[in-house]
Amino acid sequence: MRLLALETCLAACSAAVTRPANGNDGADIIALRELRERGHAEAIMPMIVKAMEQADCRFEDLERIAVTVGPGSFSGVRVGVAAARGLSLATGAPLVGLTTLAVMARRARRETGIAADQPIAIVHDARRGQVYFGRFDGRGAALDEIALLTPELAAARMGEGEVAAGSGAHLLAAARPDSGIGAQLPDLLPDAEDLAQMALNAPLAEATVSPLYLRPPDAKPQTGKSVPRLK
Amino acid sequence: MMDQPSGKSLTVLGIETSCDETAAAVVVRGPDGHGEILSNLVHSQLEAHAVYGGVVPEIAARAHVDVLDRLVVGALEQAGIGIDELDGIAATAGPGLIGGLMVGLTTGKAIAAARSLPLIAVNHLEGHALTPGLTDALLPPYLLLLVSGGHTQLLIVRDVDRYERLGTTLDDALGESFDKTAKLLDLAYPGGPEVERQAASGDASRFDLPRPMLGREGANFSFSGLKTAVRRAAFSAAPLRPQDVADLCAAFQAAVLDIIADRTANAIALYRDRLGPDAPAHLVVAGGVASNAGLRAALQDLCVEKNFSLTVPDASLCTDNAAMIAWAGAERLSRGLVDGLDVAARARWPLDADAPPVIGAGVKA
Repeated sequence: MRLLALETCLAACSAAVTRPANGNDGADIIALRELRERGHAEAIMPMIVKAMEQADCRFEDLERIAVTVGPGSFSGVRVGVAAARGLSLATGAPLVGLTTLAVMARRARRETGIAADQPIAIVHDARRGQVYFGRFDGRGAALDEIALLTPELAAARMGEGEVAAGSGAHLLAAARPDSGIGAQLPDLLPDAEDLAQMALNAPLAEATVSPLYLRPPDAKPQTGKSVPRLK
Repeated sequence: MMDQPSGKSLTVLGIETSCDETAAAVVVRGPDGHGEILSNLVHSQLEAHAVYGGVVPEIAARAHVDVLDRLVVGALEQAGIGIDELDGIAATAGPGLIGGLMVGLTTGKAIAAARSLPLIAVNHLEGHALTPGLTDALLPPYLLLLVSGGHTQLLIVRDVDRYERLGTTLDDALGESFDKTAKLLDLAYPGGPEVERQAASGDASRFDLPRPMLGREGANFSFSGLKTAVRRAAFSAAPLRPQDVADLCAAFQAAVLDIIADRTANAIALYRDRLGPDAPAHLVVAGGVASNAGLRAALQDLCVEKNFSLTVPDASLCTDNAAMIAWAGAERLSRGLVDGLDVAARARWPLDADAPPVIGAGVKA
């Protein structure tokens, strides 16, 4: 299958294109990536074009477009989703949306070497005293809904001695020091190559992909600015 | 020097997401340089922001990404064309709210990349500035008064991509001062049209309001002192009866019109100074506040006095829209002005990059 995957939600930017040479599973993949705190909107499209060229893939050949839908930086999430939806509109290729945490779980499982029958928690520091939290089984399926939690509440969702990976994992270990939570991979980020592998067999988005923010916008109704009026 | 405009017909998709309207449009620029709008869709987010009494950037950005791709499909359908028939993709790249700009520009880049079409990153203000070419076949040079919620400027439009700023607001934009007055008086959001409606039944002479900058040299504006004076007058009359509100609105609008006429008269003199006495005598008014009937009437009087023609595009093309973005894109494309896929959205992007900085103007310059 010809699939394009893109990821712009966190402190990196990556694009991957599958090549059909090796069949479906374990497809041959061209992947480009760079660490990047900002400027995803400028970097991602040239990176996609370059990956497509290196994979010798034309946009009209694409059969799927995969994107991480969040959680992550609001702007980063939107850049990825807007790019994916624009590409889908222009190519007709259907969309697959996966969460950043699910994509990180695939990598974390590989890098920690954790046993396949053990769950792994992915914990990303969401700042303001909260973490993005999700637990995944050996097949990558989410064990419960991905959530925005305090480290204390997140830690309470984990079993004794379970492994937590990601930039917020140490916050859980600190919140529940007696639980034996093992914090690993503080630099863990999602990557389009994992996303591409997962998206080859993932279900297509029903209508489209939409951002997963988990946090409401910062906005307060304005009050107390009017002059008193007779009713 | 710029390339001469190309003589072939250009069909361009326009995308606009700089504030609280999501918009998509298809425009054709004919071989003779005339424009035709094939579709012009606007999805207003007004209700999403009304409870906050103003545009909330994060809410706006979220709404843009939710609806933009469907709006683009709708614009193509209404135009009756396929993506294959497009010659370019134009998207607003600034100035405006950065989160929304990134959604529109990224969508435009994606469509351009997937179809190997040229991308044109359009300055929203250039969209307003060139609209009379689309609506009235009016070609530069002309004098432009740009009055919106975010900007209040007088510019010489010398050509596509060539602008000379004569004046700008030093504090509030005109549309902003209308909205703030409305908020002060507890009028419905958005306040501009409501202030104008109230002013129609008010007595402008009842409250004596200042006219900042009136009689001063140059073509800059300042509205914050007027805002403070309206506040003071309102509190002195509180609690306000409906007639008080109408009178305050009338006094505010009368002050605004005096200021605009005075500043524009100076700009006309500057325009003649710089372009010579034989320069085409055209004044164009664009931006959301251009739909104010009192403003149009005041400028009509001024133009008669100064022997200028007055052009005000239809209200639907003065408020934020994507047809003007597609048109500016087509004008740029016809001159070979295109952008790379790495072009960045810009919250601040003055039309006249060479104009000296004006203290206080900030992003409104």
